[in-house]
Amino acid sequence: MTHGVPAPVHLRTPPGPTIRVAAVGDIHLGVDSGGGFAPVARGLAGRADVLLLAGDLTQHGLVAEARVVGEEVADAEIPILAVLGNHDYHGDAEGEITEILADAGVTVLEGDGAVLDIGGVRLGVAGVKGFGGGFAGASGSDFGEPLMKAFVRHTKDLSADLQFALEGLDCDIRVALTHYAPVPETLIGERAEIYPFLGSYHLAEAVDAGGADLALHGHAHAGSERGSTAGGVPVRNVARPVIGKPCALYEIRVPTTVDRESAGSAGEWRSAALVAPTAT
Amino acid sequence: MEDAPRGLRESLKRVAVTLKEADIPFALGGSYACWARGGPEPVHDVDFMLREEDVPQAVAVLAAAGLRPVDPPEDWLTKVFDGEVLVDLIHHPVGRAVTTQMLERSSEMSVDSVRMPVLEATDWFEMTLLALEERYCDLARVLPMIRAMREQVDWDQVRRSTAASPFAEAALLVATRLSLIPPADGDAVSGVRRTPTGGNVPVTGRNVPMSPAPAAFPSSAGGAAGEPQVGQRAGPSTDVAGGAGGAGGADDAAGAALAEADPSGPARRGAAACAGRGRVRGDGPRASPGPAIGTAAAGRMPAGGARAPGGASGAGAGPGSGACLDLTEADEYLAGDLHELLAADPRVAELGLEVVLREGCVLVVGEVATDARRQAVTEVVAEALPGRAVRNEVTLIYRGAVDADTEDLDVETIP
Ligand SMILES: [Fe+2]
Ligand SMILES: [Fe+2]
Repeated sequence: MTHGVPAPVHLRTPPGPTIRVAAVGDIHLGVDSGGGFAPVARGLAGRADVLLLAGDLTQHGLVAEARVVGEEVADAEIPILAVLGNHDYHGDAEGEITEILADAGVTVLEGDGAVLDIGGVRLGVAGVKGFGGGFAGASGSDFGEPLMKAFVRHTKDLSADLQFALEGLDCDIRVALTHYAPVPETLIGERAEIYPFLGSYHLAEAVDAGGADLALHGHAHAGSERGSTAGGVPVRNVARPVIGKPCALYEIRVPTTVDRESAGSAGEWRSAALVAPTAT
Repeated sequence: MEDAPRGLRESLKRVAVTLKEADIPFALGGSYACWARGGPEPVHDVDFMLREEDVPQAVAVLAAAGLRPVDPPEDWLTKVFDGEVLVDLIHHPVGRAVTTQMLERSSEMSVDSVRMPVLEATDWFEMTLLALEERYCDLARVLPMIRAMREQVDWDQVRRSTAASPFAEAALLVATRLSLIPPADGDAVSGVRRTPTGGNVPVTGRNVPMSPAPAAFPSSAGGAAGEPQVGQRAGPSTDVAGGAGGAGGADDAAGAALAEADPSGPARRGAAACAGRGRVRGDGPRASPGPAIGTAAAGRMPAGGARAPGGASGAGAGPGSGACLDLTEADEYLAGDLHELLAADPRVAELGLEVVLREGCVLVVGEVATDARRQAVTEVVAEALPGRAVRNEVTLIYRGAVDADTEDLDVETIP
């Protein structure tokens, strides 16, 4: 999709207040990774209002690794919200990992949301791990063997949870945080054959239906950073190898009434704006 | 073309009968010998093998029988036409003289209801494989012949006599890896001969139990799924890395824990890890509390298919638990297994590494977070596929402390 007019349409409306979100996924800390992430978490003070972690915080889903994560983020001065990733489930210790992270001050979301008051702006974040299943034209169906049904239903359930959580947020800015990808655009770079293991369109449906202003995910280490849903919601793959820096920073403006009303054509102007992002 | 084989066979029988009646020693060779021994039927080529000194007399009797001799420029054969059909009389196939012994080794077989000597299968493959060269090395033609004749051939003899030819070596390697033919005895096998470690690398046949190679399996090689010891370990403290952590890094500590739990020592564990036809995976203690090899014999087990609750991804996959794979498998399966193994082994624990097996060499590409994990890639692969050269092209995601600097992060504005 190319646009002849580079000037974002939203400049026509007076800029509202903004918040700044730092996000990264797939930091994959192991018991040998102590000290690697702490400077990032600490250094964000004054540069971002909140840090969102998009899953795969541990390498192997070990409790010991979760403790490392907890230690690394303990000194952060900004709120941290997270979802877990598939790696964090690998050791069957996701419950304990969630507790360890919570003890370290991290809000771990799974089918729920949290609203932060940031200088008077209410930032709502809804999160689920998400799951695979694929995208239009190449997706699994809730059909056939019990395992196949279970696979697809897991995706559908988590997507429904995400939508429910998004809808439940009473806030000015709404962010969807997942580990798995809602769109294939941010998977470009991965082998097409594995897309169904990297995300599901059901997540995008939830993002759109839930009225998110931004969707963040990880998981696809070889993917691309930018995409958008069919409904025009910007999607960012913040997997650490994708962003190529300690974390990504996004400045999100509080949508005005005009923005909300023009939601029908939202896809157009949002995409246009993202073609030429304005640096601040 | 429909009638070509029939015409060929008629000519074949005519020549064979003429040579037999003249008492000239010969053997049916070429693709018709393969056909006689169960291979695909050729659509051209009728080849007979004769000693060079018998060729003039053979040509004379064939000419007397109505065939038309041709004197070709090649110095290793002569030709006679039976009508349209060309029959080769070969005395120096692939540069080697047809000998009395070779003709005596041939076996009398019925070829389209005429009995005649047919070149011995081992001799036949020596010639066929030595005939492969840069412009003619289509294994798609050779492999069906190997399939058809494999039980009739002394493959070690073929390996010895074709060792100088890279094309023959390639064909034999493919056939071995496809389990069409048994692997070579000991060091003689071409695929193993040039591995860095040399020695008794356990490349074995389909039904031959793998022999352990203790040198290739350090003490950390224990802890494979299916061992009774693993089942015991999987009990109360399955969080190997966490529970045993403290002194000396989780890998070492967990390795020590495994060693303690297994009184039989590393050598035996190495053997158990490699025994049996099924692959041995480094996971699944909960699913395999029973006797040894139960899980392994079940065949393919996905990494993490069964895990201990609340801890390491199974005691078996605990740090230091190298698993060895079924080395007789095709490369692409081994590549998949290694991919899973690298994800399952806590020393590496990286799902995104790409594994390619080519020319006996294992290439691993991708990114990991720490240098220790990068180095562990080589260890894990070497333990799983002892004897294979490992090319570790894994790079680091984090490039030092500079990388962690949040000073100059750019900001994207979301409208
Ligand atoms: Fe990841
Ligand atoms: Fe992931």
